[in-house]
Amino acid sequence: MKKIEIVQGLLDANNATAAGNRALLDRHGCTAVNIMSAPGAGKTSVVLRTIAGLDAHVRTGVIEGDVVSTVDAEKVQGTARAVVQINTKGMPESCALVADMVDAALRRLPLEELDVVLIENVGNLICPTEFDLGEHLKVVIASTPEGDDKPLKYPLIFADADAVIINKIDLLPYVDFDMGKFTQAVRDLNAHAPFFALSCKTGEGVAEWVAWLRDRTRKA
Amino acid sequence: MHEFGITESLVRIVEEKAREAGVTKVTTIRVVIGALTGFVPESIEFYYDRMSRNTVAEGAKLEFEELPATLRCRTCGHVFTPQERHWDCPSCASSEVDIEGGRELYVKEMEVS
Repeated sequence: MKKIEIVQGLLDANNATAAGNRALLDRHGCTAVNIMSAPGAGKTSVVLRTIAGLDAHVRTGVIEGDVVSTVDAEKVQGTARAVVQINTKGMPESCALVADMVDAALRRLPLEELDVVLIENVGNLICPTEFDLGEHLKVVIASTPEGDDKPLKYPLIFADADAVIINKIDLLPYVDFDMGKFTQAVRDLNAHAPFFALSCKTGEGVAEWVAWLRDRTRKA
Repeated sequence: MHEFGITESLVRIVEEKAREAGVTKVTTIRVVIGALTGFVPESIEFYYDRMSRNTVAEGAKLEFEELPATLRCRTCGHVFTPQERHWDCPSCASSEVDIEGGRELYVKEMEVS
């Protein structure tokens, strides 16, 4: 019996593809945003509000990740400059987007006409954490009905976030969500991510989020 | 489950290393997984059984080594392994921490005959 030392990362292949995606986006001056949340927290609503908010200044493309349906892509169709749907059902990994899927989607987008690519990940707070897609910004959305303890249950996704959106603040009078507790729990894991408390329903707070994102795009 | 891609990588890496070393039979593979990753050893094993068929790695035993989570206190710099769900610094009680370790995922070594 003989031992052979290896020490090689199992995510190296994904990370290499992600680095390729990032380089492709950089060549076109596109800023890519990986939008992650639990199902139903409002990823598509945030995408729609973001496109509308950025509209006059920034050209936006969308990659919609979903297990089966095209409903999200249809909702976004009329608003974004270009939309590509990725259905993960039938693919080996169905619980999160991986860099290969985004690579294929980027080839179908007119990147030379875009400033921002919003990537709506599959609704899930665990699996997407592991896979670099080649994005420039990771944004996590939590919504008030989910409760304020999400960062304690899913620490990694909050630790990695470049920004945290708290959606559905119009429901605050009706749900048990302690904003102070939530933001402290995120801050405990993440020293830098800004918070954007907003409601996609009423539009409250959306402008601040959009302004922050616009400052991070390169052609604006 | 999201272990398909990483198991594919695992088999590919082992095959490549075996070829380089001129090995025809791999008996054991040691994989290191950090305690904070969402990857499940049983799922890797499930895919591995199918993916390693007709390769030099077929039938090899997978051994998983778990590395603990380690956190660095942002206030006093103390590095510690947290107890389940309790991430406060045991030295100064600050709750603000940065994750240092526990997210590893790599093939460490293999035994061959």
